[in-house]
Amino acid sequence: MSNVIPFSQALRERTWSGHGESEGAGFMTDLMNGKGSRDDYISLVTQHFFIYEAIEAAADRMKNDPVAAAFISPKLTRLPAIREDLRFLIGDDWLNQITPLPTTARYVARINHVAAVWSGGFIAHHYTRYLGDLSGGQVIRTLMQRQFGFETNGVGFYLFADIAKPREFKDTYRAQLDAVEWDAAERERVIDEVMVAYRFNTELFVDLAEAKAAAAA
Amino acid sequence: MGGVTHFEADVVAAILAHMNNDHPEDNLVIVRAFGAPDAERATMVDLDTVGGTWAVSAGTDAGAGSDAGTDHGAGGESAQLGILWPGGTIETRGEIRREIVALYDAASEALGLPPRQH
Repeated sequence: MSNVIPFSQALRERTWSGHGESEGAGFMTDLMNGKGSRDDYISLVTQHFFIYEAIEAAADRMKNDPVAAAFISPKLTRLPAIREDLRFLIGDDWLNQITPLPTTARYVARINHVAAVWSGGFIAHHYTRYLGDLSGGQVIRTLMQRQFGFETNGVGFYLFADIAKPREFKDTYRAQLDAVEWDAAERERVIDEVMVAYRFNTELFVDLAEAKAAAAA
Repeated sequence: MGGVTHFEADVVAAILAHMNNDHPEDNLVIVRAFGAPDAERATMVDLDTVGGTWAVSAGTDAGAGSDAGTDHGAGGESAQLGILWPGGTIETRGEIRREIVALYDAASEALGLPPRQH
């Protein structure tokens, strides 16, 4: 047996930035601490729409890729739930009322560019979003339900009806990551792409905070 | 909704020791997401069926402290921060770990940190 650490562990350790990015985090933490508005939450869901539209289009293109296919599951698909959430939150005309923030546009372009040609990059973006949704997303859902009086309408994005045990699902996902036969250089490229994805997510929080400040001004 | 009930002292002591000795960074992630964004240090000091309590201190950076999110002022002073369990009031000691993990996971998401295997 080799004593090389599992890829999933290396990935976590390398992407761990200590205490989290403080810039922009106020948008999310305010929302979680009862200091955000329903409109703030709608802004977040709106940006999710564009991001998952790109990721799930990429998943469709990657479904026959020998490496990426193992990670793609209809149990994860979020776009139909996001559409329903936005219809509930904004109304039937929701699609005409939403626009991507600048970071979202760049994030989407990156997903479209990377996932079209490279399975490792696709997996990097897939991992970053869905494992987070299956982890912290579950408490965020509870907090939003409590704060805004949602039942399931409005928070469908966070409800994975077909994943009864998120922890087991995540463990399997990590085992699949460890099983991919990437060489050291490819592992580094994938880790770097995960860091790119986290950077986009952090910058998105900054954008959301700025858009909120601009709307209030 | 039940009121606050305390766990036995040795249960609380064991959890606090575990969090403070084995997961000091986790304490910091949790308090930064749930009320003390400028925290530089955090120690878990108590817990009951309703939530946990952390002693939080901000850095000595004189420029900090303007963030309206902090309830207790910054500037190196230690303050106590109470955070409710996200799943609601709990009843058994076995639920404590689950709730702390849930707080940590949510905090990671909000702060843009990778999810972690627990």
